[in-house]
Amino acid sequence: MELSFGWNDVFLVSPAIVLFLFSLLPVFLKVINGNKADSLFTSYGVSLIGLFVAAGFSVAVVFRQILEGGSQLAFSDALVMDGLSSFASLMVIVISIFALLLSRDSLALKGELFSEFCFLLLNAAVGMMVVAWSNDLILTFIGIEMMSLCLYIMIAMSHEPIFSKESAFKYFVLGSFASAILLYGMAFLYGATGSTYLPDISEMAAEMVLTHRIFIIGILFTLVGFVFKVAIVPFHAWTPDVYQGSPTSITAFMATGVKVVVFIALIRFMLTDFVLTPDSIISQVLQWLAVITMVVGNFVAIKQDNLKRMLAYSSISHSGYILVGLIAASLPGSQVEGVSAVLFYSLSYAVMTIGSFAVVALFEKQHDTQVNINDLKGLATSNPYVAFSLTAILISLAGIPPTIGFFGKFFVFSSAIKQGLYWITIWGVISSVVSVYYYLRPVVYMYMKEADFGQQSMLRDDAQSTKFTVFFASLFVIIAGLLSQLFYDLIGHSVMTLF
Amino acid sequence: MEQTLISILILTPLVGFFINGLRWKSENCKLAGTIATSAIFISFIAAVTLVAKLIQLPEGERQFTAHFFEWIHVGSFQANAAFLVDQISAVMILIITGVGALIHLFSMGYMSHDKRPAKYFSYLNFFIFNMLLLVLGDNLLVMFVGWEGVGLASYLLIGFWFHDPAKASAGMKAFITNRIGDAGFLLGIFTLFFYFGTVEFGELAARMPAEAETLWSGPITLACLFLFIGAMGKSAQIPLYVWLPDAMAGPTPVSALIHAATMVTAGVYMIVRMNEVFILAPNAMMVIAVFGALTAFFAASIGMTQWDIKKVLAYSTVSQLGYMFLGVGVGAFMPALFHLMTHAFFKALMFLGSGSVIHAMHEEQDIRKMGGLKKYMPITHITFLIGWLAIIGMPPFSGFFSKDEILYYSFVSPHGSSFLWLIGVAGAIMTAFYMTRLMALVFWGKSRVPSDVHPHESPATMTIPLIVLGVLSAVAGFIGIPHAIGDLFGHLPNVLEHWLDPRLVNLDVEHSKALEFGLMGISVALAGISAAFAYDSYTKKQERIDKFTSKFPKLYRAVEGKYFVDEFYFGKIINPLISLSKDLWVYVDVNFIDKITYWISDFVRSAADAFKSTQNGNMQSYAMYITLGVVVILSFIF
Repeated sequence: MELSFGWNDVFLVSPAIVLFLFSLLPVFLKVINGNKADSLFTSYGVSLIGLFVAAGFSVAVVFRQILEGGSQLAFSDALVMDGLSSFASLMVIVISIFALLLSRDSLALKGELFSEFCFLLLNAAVGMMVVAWSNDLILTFIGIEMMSLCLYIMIAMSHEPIFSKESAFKYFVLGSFASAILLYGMAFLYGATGSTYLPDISEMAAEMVLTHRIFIIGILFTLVGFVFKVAIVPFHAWTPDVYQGSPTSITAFMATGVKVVVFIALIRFMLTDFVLTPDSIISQVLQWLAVITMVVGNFVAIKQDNLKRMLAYSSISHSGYILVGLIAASLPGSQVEGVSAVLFYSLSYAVMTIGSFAVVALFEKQHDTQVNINDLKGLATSNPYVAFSLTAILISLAGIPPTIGFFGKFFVFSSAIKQGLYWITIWGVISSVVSVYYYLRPVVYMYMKEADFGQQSMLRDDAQSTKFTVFFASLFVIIAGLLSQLFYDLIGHSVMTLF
Repeated sequence: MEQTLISILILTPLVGFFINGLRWKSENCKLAGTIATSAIFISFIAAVTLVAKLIQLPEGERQFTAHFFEWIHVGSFQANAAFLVDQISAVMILIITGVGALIHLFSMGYMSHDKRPAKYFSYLNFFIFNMLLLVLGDNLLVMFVGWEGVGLASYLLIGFWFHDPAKASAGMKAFITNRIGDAGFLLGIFTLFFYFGTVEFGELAARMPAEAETLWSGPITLACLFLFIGAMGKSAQIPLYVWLPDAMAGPTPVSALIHAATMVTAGVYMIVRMNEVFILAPNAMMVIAVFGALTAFFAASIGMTQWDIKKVLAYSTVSQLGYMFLGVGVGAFMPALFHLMTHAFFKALMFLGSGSVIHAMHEEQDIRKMGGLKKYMPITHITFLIGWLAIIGMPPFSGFFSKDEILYYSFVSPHGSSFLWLIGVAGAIMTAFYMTRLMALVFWGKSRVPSDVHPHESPATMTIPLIVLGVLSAVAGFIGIPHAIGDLFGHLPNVLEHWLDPRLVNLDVEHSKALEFGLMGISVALAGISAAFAYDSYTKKQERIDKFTSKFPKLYRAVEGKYFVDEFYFGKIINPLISLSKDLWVYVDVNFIDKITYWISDFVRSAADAFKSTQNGNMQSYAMYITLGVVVILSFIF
């Protein structure tokens, strides 16, 4: 096979190239500087500039798509640049920007090795983009490994001595285990179809899924490998431990970035038409996974007193909701609506999650602070604006109108109902009723409980960019909630390029 | 142009509300007061300009409508955010913004020692905004928004000093009582929409049948009675008047603005606004007239026995509102609106005067501890004197013209009767008595002021509004001179009647000058005698009153105890309701519904515990879950 590519290919993947090039700068500058502790500009500033430049290139790619219409292929068709890819690139870049903002304030990451941290962050972003753009299972796997390896190291780089090391190790071992299953599934698929290229699989899928048992095993193993990354029960057990142990900024980064791109990869994978009816084995498996995930995630969350653990379970349950939308999207019929619902939900989920973890980060006065729900007592009197922002975000997470979280759930559940998936919708609604309990519990602590006697003002007052993130997220959940139709239509337009 | 003016008129108070509302913690009374007062003053200028433009139009076309946006459009139901300035609402906006501006000015002096002046002024502006919505709305729904808005403002202001539980509960009493009326008002709107398919005033009038409705259960009668229930609540008529005397817990300027001059007259305004509808329901009109007359009578009788200066004025307000309802009930819409206007002037004047007195007496409200204040507070005394003359109906002060018009029509109107007139005159006699009693005990006679209190005249911000309102109370009657008197002095026109004529339904009345003068003479003479008797008794021969009251101890106690209406409400309605609610709570909620929910939540918790126990921190277990998951999934295939 001859490898050849032109400037067009390079242009289409330019955001990733830019990010990679900029990721080298902090490390180079540090070495040139004689390995001294880096100044703010060298690592943080350069990375931020890199992200903005990449954003610019992404927008340029979007314009190119609008002008030339629809999706474009790059690098021997291994990468596809369509509406989904552009959505993913922009999401990844924005998520990385906020992760960088939060990391800058984080006491667990400050100081030495921050330039290396920036290098890893940007490369994780590159990996995420590859996952979202990939049109070939092998490339998807490479992307997943690239971002995961960066994340393992980033978690272990925390100055917090115990939990971070434990979570990095757990994540690494279990992640490798899941990667093995993923690769195993891909091998089965290659064995059955003779290809790892998604359009090739797509051509054969509808027929093979009825006749070929090896193909089904391949599909199921691959799905398990994917859903491990988005923490679907029972492949979720790593999530609470890892989310709690990681530096909060990285928790926010992986809870959003990884999930968004893996769900987009799942969309690409599931749209290869191997799900024909809601009663087929694969769909049944996914439906059960979605229900178990929503129930377990929400039920266990009510028992958590550690805020990060609570949010971890909340993020598990949100994966369940997204999976509901994904099941609807995989069925023939109203696929555009299903995919749009999944993307809209990912957007709302990302904003809410970043905002809520940013609030947690505001409490971390030491590099190893564990934030408990009791720390929220009396926040409404000591920091009314933060209390209000957290309330807005939590209300959105609980899915109460007029916030964006409500519309996310609304679109997901209505696309499921259109496909006749009533029973998972009912479980979804029941478990989100349960979720209201633990989302409103912090509100009760903030507004209705007095701070303990002698308790200091609990918030950091030096973390300006974290505060900015909190306010941005809370404003976004309200304003985008009011303008949800506008966002939904925009996403719908980008989804149209898929079909 | 008109649209802009109407926007300025309505929105300036709202802007004032937001400015003061955002800086509600400010303690700078002067700044807050200046913002609020100038907002209302701008509004007043807009109102005057609008009315001036209205006058320039030919008589039949005097109307501006401003349509802002389509508010609700569901099926056949449509309501616009639209406003109507015509002859009726023109009178109202002048009163609201004019008297409102004066009372805002007065408040700057009165509230100068308060801790939260910005909050107070923002509420006051909020009230004016809603009152303007109420009178300018061109359909019942916009009116209802204002109706509810003024109720809210009234609640907030009555309970303004909510640290005192009595004042807070007075606010709640007002709010709850008003809610009962509002339910009736809503039912009235529903009835009208159900039968006539619109809530717009012009459309409603156009869709009314030509013949009057004689059935008690006809749609118009039903709607009018429902609307009157709303008016009972807002305008403090029997049986829903109980909140108004308690509402005096609020700052005195609030009592003057909301609970005397403007909000409480909303019910009267609503009926005048819909006079084409009400006139078609003679049964409803009769009910209104009877309730009005009874309210005028009983409230006046309670007023004779009260010792709190504001309570006397409060019962007087209830009584005067009764006269207005007597007026609209007998179809005398113009006199009712006329009395609404004059009453707004003289009652606001007297409330502000009482505020001035209370301010001077260091928050003392008991008239037994006053007396002889005339020499300490000359301006307050003179202006209060004018208010007194106006309310007891002494010619040529404003109250004389308006009240006698109502009494005259209650006698001659086809909807009226001599019985209603008789009750009205009896009320007027008592009015003269209790107002003179108030004057005598507060300003005249010997001083009973405690030695540690040194009364003083109030500052200029307080006396200027008093003077302006005093002048208005004295001369405002001249715009509505009855024809009988007008002819006497050579065709003095009845300006107000002429102005309102195109908007109001005319009554078939055969005017007889002799009768009019006769009735007028009787009521003025009786009121005069009553006033003289009261003056004599309370300045010189106090023992006469004591002897009289000791002769009828039961009656006196009943009247002084306000006929025990509050006690009756508590005993027969409120307490049974509370105990029923408690029973429902204990037997249905706590023992039945709660138990089910607790059972569910216990189940959820134990399920959560079970799930949680799998999260043991052991990585090998986690890997096992993954393996088990894969195995179970694969078992689907085989």
